[in-house]
Amino acid sequence: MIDSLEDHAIMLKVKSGDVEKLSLLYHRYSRRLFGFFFGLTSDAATSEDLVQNVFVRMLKYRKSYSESGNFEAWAFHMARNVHKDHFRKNKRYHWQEDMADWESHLKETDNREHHMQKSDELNNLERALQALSPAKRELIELTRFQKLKYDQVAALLGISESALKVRVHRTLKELRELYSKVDGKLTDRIN
Amino acid sequence: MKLTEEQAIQYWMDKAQGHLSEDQEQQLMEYLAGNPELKAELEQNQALWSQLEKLERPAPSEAMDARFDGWLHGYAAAAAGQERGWQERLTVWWRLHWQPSLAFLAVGLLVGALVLPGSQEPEQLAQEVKDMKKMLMLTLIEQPQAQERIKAVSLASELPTKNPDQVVVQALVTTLNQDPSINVRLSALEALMAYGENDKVRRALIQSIARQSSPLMQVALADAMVLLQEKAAVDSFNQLLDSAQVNESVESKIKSTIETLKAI
Repeated sequence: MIDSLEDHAIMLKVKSGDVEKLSLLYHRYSRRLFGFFFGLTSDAATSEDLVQNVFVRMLKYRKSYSESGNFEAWAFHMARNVHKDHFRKNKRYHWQEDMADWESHLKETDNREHHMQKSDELNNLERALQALSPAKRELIELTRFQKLKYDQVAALLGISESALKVRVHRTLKELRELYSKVDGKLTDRIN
Repeated sequence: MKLTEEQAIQYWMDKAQGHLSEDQEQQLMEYLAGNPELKAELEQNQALWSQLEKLERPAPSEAMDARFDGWLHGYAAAAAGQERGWQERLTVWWRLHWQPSLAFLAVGLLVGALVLPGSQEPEQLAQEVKDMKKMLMLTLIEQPQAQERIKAVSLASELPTKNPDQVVVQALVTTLNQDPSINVRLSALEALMAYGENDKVRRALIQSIARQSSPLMQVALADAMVLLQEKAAVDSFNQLLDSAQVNESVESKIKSTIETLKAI
């Protein structure tokens, strides 16, 4: 709560022209935003560029920041728009193929050592996440990984909080099913 | 109140966040007791939710921070620059660019020293300007438009009167005697008057008296001769009177001019 008020106060200073204060907000939020973008793109270099774009956009639109605003919500609102623009330009990411494409991740050229480091369970979970549609993946990113409150995410998506909770539940259910499917394919492959 | 499935889902999620009242929790438990499938589903989701936390995300590179810091610094400097006055901006610019500026100045001086003549005196520059005006004057004086020829005569007036250029003088004399426009001829006369101290010019003006048939030109030449106090013009005016090229209104003017010149 205190952090939230501080963020808001800092952003108001940025809005009034003290643009170098944006550096404080960058250091508080850049890692989270990077995680958000990485979760959506699975590409570190792209994610870094998108983080930069978010802060560029913040300065560009700083006058539109509300006096009674919530910086965290505003930051993720910006991040979503930046990602939408990027997605529109790049149409779809290499991993956003159908289930059949998963097998390509298991080719001989794959970094087996990397996969060994993680447990099979987590690797499979990662693959299942990647198989979700971009919108559902974003939903998990915002609620689970970025730990935004339900009311904030609901406002970002323009839906009611109760509708959001049901949507999260259904997405988790789909994720479980995908997870089982990946696990089954891998098991078949090993056998 | 009996819950719906969607309400039960919401309650479950609120419970996970510790936002559920005792009454609501009681309602949820009752609902799930009668719906074991949903209960199992919610518990499995809960387990998956916990498992997701174990997924690791890579950290961004240090270059990302450096890039941001550089960009923000540049942005802030540019924004501050817009608010400064031009003098302050000039000072800042000079501080940032004084070395290349000095280098450019040095190169400029070097090129100037090598390319331009070593000692370009003002006289040489004046001569160049004079030559340029002369060329322009000789070009314009041949133009079909009277206006252009008058400009040419004006240009001739701007040339130095001491040691007049013979080509220019000849061009003016020709204009005085042959130009079809009276205005141009009058302008040429005015320009030649500036060279009044030159004998050749004076002779040319005297010779021109016999060539002018226009009363205006005859009167203008009469005035010019009086101004120049040129006694040698008397014979030319007498010949003009005898040639019957003079109308009555000009005749008295010529006669009085002859008397004046004789009296000088």
